[in-house]
Amino acid sequence: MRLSRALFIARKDIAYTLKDKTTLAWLILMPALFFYFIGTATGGFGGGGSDAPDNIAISVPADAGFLSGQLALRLSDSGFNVVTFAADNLEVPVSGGEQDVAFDGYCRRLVIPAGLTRSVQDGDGALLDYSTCTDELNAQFDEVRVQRAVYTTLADIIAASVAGGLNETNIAALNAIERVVTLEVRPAGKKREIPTGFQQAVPGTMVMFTLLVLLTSGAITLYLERTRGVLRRLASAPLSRGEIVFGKWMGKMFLAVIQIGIAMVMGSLLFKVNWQPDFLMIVALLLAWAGACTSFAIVLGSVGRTEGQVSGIGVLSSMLLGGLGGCWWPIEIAPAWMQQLASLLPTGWTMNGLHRLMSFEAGALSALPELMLLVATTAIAGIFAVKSFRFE
Amino acid sequence: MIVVNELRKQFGQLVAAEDVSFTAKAGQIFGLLGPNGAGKSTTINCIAGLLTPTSGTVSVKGHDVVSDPLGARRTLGVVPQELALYEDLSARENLRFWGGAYGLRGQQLEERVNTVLSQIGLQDRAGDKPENYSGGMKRRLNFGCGIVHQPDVLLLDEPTVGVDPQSRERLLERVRDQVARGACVLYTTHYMEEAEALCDQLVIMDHGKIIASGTMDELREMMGERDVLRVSGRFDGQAVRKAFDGMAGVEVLQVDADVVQLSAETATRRLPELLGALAESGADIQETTLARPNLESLFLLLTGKALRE
Ligand SMILES: Nc1ncnc2c1ncn2[C@@H]1O[C@H](COP(=O)(O)OP(=O)(O)O)[C@@H](O)[C@H]1O
Ligand SMILES: [Mg+2]
Repeated sequence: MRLSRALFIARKDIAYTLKDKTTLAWLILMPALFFYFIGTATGGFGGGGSDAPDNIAISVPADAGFLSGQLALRLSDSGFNVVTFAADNLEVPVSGGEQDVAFDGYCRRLVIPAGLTRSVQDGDGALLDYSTCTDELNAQFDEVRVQRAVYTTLADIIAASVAGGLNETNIAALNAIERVVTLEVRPAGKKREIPTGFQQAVPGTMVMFTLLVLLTSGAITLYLERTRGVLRRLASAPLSRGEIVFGKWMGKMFLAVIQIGIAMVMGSLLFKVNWQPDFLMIVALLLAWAGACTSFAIVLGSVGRTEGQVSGIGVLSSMLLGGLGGCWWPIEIAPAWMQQLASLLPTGWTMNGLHRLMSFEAGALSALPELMLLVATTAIAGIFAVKSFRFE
Repeated sequence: MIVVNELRKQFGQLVAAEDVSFTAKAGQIFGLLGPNGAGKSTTINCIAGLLTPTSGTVSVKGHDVVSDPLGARRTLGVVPQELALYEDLSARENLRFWGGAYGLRGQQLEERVNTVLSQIGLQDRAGDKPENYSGGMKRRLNFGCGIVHQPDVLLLDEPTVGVDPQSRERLLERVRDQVARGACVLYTTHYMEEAEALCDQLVIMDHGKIIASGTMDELREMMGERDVLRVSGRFDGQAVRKAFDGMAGVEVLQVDADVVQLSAETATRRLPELLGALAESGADIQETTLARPNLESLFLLLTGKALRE
């Protein structure tokens, strides 16, 4: 096997594929449109995005007492950006936030009842009123965080009572002590948000389009070369079967890499997608995914009987695998059975890995299982590709 | 250059080529003539390494096509019977691709591509895609793709099928060019005029077997000093055969409802006798031609059927 001859085939293959205007459209234009529409539909520019500040507005009556301050402290411990309003002036905040945004302008709002500290000190209950405008998923999440702040404050109260009375001094002393037990509310990883908006739509659409472009353009060009006798003629040229098959594989792989490259650049520049902090692992994961798509494409292009069949199977299976694997919406919000199904699909592995790396920031190694699964898929499908490769 | 020895190729039960042996030399156009299904493509594909012989050996320039396929293929140029082109790449790009597949690169490749473009008369349409070409232009390009790398051995499988007479003449000229520079050309066709006009050495195939072989002169000799009388009109097949049954020196080559062909020694002198016998059989004679024997009549003589069927 001579690499230069395989590279010749690869070079010609990619040049030939990129000649097709439809392929170019699917490579550049369609992903951009899909990024925009899916991203916007799932809250791209709105709140939900991971970069949106987690503002929470609290309304504090004049007689709320020191516990309201304690609660604000715990809320900001939970990752909120606390904007405090005096209960009698909900137009302009006392601290935090922007001067021209009123209490009602905030999505998450917590109303502290009058005489909070006194009621608690007297042993009476107090009712905190929390409301939010975020979608159900994020709302649940926020609620847990608000609750955590409240419970921590409660724990402070109990601890202070035991320590010699619930008063401001004791509470302040407690704040200085490091907690033995802390309640962490977050999914695996450092960030807590399930990706929405462009942070989900761009990788999701990209992953599906890699498969789509490879299974349509990639597989169809191979099908056409086979049925138009080009491959057969090539078989009489001084090239070994291995050089031809590997050359074709590399050509299609390059198509996938171009597709991913364009999508990533477009995602960064136009949609502010953040591919950090584990950029290299993201690249490795996507390359493994590209390899799997490439092997699938060679198999499809080799076994397909008609052009319609090839493109039909290509489109259907990439839509199906995309949808079920979590490319259209974050699989974390899907029912459990769908999550389980996704964990069996290559698209699901890729998306899970990407979410861990990009949204949960769980560290580069967290995506290692997915990476290995994808590499194995590339290899196994690659063996099928070699076996099924036909010259006529 | 090409040595085929007792080649046999079977597809399941069907024997497509059997006991095929011949040797084609450099500077020679070696013809494989036969009707559709005779096994010409099968034979040429075994030489090109596209089919593996069931038994027998094939070598090209000393390289066995089975044990040293790359060595054999390096010396070959192949022009398949079915067009094998990138319909949506320009003629120039197609030629570049096939030249590249045979290892040509850079300046050398560009020069060869330009030369071939002018040889096949497509330099003005070099940027056009074959999907916009006529059948003849496509055939010429298909041929051109096989000669970019100036192969020592050129395999041409019915390169003129579906080509207008002008394109065909041009193509045959280019084939002769290849021989002139010393290549060995193996040329299959079912057009006997083409074989007659082009080939130095010829093998006639039918049903997978070689039924005659030799130079044009040798093959003509097989017909003996016979002329061929071709009569058109309306005939009763059985009556015609009966009329000539037992007539010395006369052979019925073909009897159809509207045409009869006879081969006869000294037919010129026996014309009245032959036409008389035909008339007696109840034939309605419209036109007669007397010709020197050709490959068509040889094929008729050997197989009892017309080559064109
Ligand atoms: N791949 C194949 N599988 C089965 N039969 C084939 C195959 N190729 C050719 N044949 C059969 O072999 C015979 C010879 O075919 P071919 O060599 O193409 O003839 P020619 O080129 O002289 O027209 C035909 O009967 C044809 O149907
Ligand atoms: Mg043929």
